Amino acid sequence: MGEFIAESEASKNALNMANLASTLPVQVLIFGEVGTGKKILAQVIIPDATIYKAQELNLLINENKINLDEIETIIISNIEKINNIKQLIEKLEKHHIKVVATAEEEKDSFGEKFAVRIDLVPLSQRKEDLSVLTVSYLFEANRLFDTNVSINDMELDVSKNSISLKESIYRSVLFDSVDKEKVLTLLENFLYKEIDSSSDYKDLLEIFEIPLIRAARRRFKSQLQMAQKLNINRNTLRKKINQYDLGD
Amino acid sequence: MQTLIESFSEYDLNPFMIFSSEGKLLHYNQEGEYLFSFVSPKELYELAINYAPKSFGMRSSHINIRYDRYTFCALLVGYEDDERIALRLYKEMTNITHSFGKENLTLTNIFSLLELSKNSVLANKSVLISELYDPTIPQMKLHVEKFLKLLNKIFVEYTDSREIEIRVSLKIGKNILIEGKSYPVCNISISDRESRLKNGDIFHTLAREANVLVIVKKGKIIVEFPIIA
Repeated sequence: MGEFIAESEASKNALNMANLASTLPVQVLIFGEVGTGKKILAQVIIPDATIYKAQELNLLINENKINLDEIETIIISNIEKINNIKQLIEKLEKHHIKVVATAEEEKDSFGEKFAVRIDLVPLSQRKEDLSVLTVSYLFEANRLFDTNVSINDMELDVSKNSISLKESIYRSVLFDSVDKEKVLTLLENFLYKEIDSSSDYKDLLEIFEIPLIRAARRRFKSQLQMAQKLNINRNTLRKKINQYDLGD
Repeated sequence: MQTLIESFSEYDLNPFMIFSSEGKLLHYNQEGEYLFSFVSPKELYELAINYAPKSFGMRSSHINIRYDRYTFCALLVGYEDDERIALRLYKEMTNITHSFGKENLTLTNIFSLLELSKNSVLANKSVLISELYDPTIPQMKLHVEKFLKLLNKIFVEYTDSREIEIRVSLKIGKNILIEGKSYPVCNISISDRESRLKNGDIFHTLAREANVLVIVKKGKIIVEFPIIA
């Protein structure tokens, strides 16, 4: 697992809390959306702990498949997904186990069971962290695909924080690394799976025409210019735009 | 005989006082005098009037009333003429002596705990916090988990505040005696002039578990505890 990025004020504060909590005998809750870095921060508090999903841990305990006497620290992810939070934490406390739990949804019992709560705000509110993560993911992706894509060439998706950010960067870089030969092979493989006895040439034509029209629209300013450059009748172009529902 | 009764009254652990018909203090014992540092004689006179018997005589009532750090569970009001009225308050016994659990104490820095608690509760709230800390306060042994939960509960009271002040200081001239040994007292005061706290009593169970004293005043919560190094 990576390093917790703490460039913004909010994440510096969270990291400071994690460092303080690491020295104290307290149970900690880290709260935040998916992809905000909860598990990485949990490992700042208890670096050698094993991570268990809450439901999985419940099952292991109920089936006596885990020896709690041998465990000193534990990270429990998605603790909101179980109904016996209080009982589980009390059981672990009896075995003197230090717990760091993560949650994506609020539960009333959190305040009662966890003395320390660290809130991680979404990446969209941590501009400095977003910038560092973007550069880091882009560097990884460019090295992997042997490309030289810049940040300006891509649309970043932070709807699922670092998860969607990484996905959007890798997708952009991957697409950029694809040459004509790879596209043809990709299409061939795709069509091979799609084609069956009922396949119609005209139906499959959209696979070529939709990307072509979209690309032309990005490249040229008007339908008139698009028709001229693609050497196609304007009426035919307009008909296809309507047919594929590609109007503005 | 009269001297013995007077001495018993004087050294009684419960406050006793006599008011004139105009509410003027005519007599009080040592505990009564101490109580006046937390509540005015005027307020106590009104209490006596409210619980007085309908006619001459004595009337005892079971109440639950708190003045600063003292909780009283009953009172006795009596008058035999129109000139004087007497009031005796009965302390709740649990507040007189308090057992101190020394198990699970961890040597810790009080400022770290305040930082953690403040951020756990107020991190995403728009509360302006000013802090006035005495940096000479040494590390001390506390029941960290319970102490933090108590602080969290206190900070929850201020989530709607615009501005609060946190002060941490040594309580000058006061010591807490535990098992015959005297310890200096640390004082944390969290205040908001605009706030009117009503849930003071909710802290007392947690306070007892965390071995601290919680005093709730208008807009202000004070936490006192021994500095056990």
